[in-house]
Amino acid sequence: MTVQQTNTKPTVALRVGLRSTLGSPVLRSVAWAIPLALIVGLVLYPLLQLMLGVLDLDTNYVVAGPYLRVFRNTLIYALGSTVMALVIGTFLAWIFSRGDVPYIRPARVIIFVGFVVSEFIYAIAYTFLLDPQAGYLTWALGGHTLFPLYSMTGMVLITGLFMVPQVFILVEPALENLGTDLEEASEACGANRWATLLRVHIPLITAALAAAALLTFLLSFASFGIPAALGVPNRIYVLSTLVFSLIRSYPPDFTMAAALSIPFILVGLLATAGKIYLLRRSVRFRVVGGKGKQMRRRHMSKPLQAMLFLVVWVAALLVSILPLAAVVFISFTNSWSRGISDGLGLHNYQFILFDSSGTANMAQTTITVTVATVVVVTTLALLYALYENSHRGIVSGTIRMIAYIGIAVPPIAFTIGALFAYIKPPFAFYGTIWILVATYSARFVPIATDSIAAGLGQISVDLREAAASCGASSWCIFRTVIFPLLWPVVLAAGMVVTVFALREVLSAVFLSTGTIRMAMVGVFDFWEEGNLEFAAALATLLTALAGTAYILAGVLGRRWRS
Amino acid sequence: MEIYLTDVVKQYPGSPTCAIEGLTLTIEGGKVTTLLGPSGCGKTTTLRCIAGFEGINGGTLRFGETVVSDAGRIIVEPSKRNFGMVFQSYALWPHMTVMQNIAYGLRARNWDKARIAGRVDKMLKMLELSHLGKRYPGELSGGQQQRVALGRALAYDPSVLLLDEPLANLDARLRDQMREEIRALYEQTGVTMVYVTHDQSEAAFLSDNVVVMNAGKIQQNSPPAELFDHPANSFVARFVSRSSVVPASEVRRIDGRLRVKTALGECDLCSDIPVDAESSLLVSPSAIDVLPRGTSAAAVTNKAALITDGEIVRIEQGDIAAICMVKVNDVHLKAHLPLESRFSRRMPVTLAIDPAKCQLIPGC
Repeated sequence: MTVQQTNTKPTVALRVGLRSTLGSPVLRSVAWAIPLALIVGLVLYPLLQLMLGVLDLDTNYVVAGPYLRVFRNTLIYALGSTVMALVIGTFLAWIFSRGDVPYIRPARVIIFVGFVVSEFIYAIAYTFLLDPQAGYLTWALGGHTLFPLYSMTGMVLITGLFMVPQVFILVEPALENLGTDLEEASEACGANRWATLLRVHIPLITAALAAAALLTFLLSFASFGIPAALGVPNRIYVLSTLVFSLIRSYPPDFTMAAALSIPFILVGLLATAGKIYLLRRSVRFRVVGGKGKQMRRRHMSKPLQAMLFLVVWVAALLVSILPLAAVVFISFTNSWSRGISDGLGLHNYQFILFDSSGTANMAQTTITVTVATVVVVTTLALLYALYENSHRGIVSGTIRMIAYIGIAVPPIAFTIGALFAYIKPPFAFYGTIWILVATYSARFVPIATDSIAAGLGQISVDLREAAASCGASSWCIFRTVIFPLLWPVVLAAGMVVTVFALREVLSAVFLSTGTIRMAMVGVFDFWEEGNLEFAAALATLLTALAGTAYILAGVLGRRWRS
Repeated sequence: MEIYLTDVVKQYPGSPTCAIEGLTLTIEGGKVTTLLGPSGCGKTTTLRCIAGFEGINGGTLRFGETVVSDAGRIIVEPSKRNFGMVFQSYALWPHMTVMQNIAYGLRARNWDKARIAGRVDKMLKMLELSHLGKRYPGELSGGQQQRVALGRALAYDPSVLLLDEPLANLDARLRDQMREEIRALYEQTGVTMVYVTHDQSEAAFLSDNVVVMNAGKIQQNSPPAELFDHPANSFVARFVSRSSVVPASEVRRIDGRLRVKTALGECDLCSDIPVDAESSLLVSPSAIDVLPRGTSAAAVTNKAALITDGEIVRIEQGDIAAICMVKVNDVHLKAHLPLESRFSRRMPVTLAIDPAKCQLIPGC
């Protein structure tokens, strides 16, 4: 092993990885090829199988009226909830980044908490709150319903609320990055607040707004939990619930399910391409001027402060506090509709943890699948990030793009593809945990890759070159310099993957079998059987677990930054 | 246009101290006034209060005859105050071209298109930016961005131009060039300027009037020359002048003279200023003759001189004269050395200090 040359391009100086342990170049390429092929295969194989499945289809069958109606429903549903989430999320982001309003910081954390709650649990929570007969809020309003819950309106409003944290997370940093100097310069030039908003704010955060809109649209277009809980009881179907009913029917119509997944893929790829385009474009408008980016909160009058205070706390109440409180409260009741009058206790937990026959199996599956997914995803993501760092070029770019398809293709289409792919040889994973691990891994690898690659990029090239100039081999540099600096990022990525794995409803429900059930499937089954109290207890446990992982991820992230 | 600040108080919410404490100041029309001070002294806050980006908690702020802010209220919104502002970050809008940036204030004033085009053209010519009109700020160098920021702020003939450390982000050579350009722009337009900086050479070069601030209060308000010759107190002296500040341990009035006792020894000053509880001796470098150690008092021509021994700790070679730092009983004094002298570092020397060139100032 020779000493690394430090005068070549920085990335070349860092052939991190297995070079010193695996001497020959052939072996080295093979060593790299395995993880990379795994990433590509995990993503592309199910999609390929999905395409093959569609070929069997009689096209006349697809354009039949009922399917078009469902497609229209899906569009209305996705657009409606996107607009709602966008308006509320952006307004909240503006208040938090610009408003001079006292006592609202805790609300920000509370709104973020909404991020760990599974969509399906969220829907159940709102059933508890707004059910026309027994909902607690309905009761509090003296029997009046605010809006019909089991309807398109209900689905749009609840999904809109559910997506608020998502929008908030994307738009707030964009506003923070803007710095208040740009607005003040506008006012100094004589433009009033409205002109400033229209001509300075909006153009500069368009990219972030559009990215948030596209992501939210994509998520709600493919959303399953809320339409299943709120639409299906009243026979209002969107594409995801229709696909599910096709698979659950006897005999299951897999071909049709595959065909209906195609619009998801198209919408997903279009939305992602649009998002990438907008983010690229926004780079051109990166705010210039060295330091001196200042965040200053403008003085606000008392009535305005009071109004914004109210807006923030009502949003926190609706987005996070009420749904979480409802689920936790009901997990202690005997009968949710009779509430406290029927007594409170731990019997629901007693049942789901100790008395229910499936518990041991479910806990084992959940733990195994989650841990296996985290290990596979972080390993692949780390290897990919290291590869990309030392081999920037067409190969790494293509792999990254393929990995992104895992995010771009909506979960429902991907899951149907996974059914097709893993039900038959050579990868007959159906009925084992591996079908879940493979599907989750393909979907979550890009998330982990993004953060690990970003973390790696921030470890200055100087540090590695300094190690190389001291004579360290690339494996030695990895072991002594990169990993010690990077591990919090890897672990944080693992925690985020844990959150995603625990809150996942769709893949879990579609891919589970009698013996292999994720805990979220347990929630779904309890709900289908009408055992809402058990569902609430299990949901509480799951949310607490996901919340812990989320907090750990945050703590690790901060530790790394410091 | 004159700007009057009367007893202005500014306290940020949650902060125990006032950012500005009872500030009374008149900014004269058609002149350059500089607010000078260390960071955190309240100079930027003062500027932002004038702009109306910050409200004030006490006092009044007038633009000419119009009250624009008073305690707790912003009466005239920033967008109606007709001022131009240059930010430390320039704050150019990255999504607009140079021309669009400069035209912004004109559009806000509803000028018609032809008139806007004419004025933008004139500004571009004046700032030598004509070839860059269609570029985006991200495609310009730091100095060019700075000029665009100036052009944008001056395009609509504001009644006052506010500059918040505009040169802080430039490298040293460009900074010198830009400050000359700013002064030239002032000569051309005659606009009232309020300039915030922490750099005393910038203040000295640009200003008609310098307001030295510390801890939210004005320490001295005078033309630059006076600031250097007669600093009002030890803070101003330490911040702006090259003279050494030596705290006085005792000051007594004897026969119309002041006998000042310092770590350097005792000397008599001809001064009729009232004796403060705490005061310091301001020793200008030109007051000090550096002599070889052992030079007797008899050999010194000035019989009133204060003779003391010290050691040279540092020599800074300049192009006209060298400046040395001499340590005398834990006090450091700056003194001039003739260019071709035989003095070197660590050399013991004798100093002859001329009291006639020293001043007594308040504060220690």
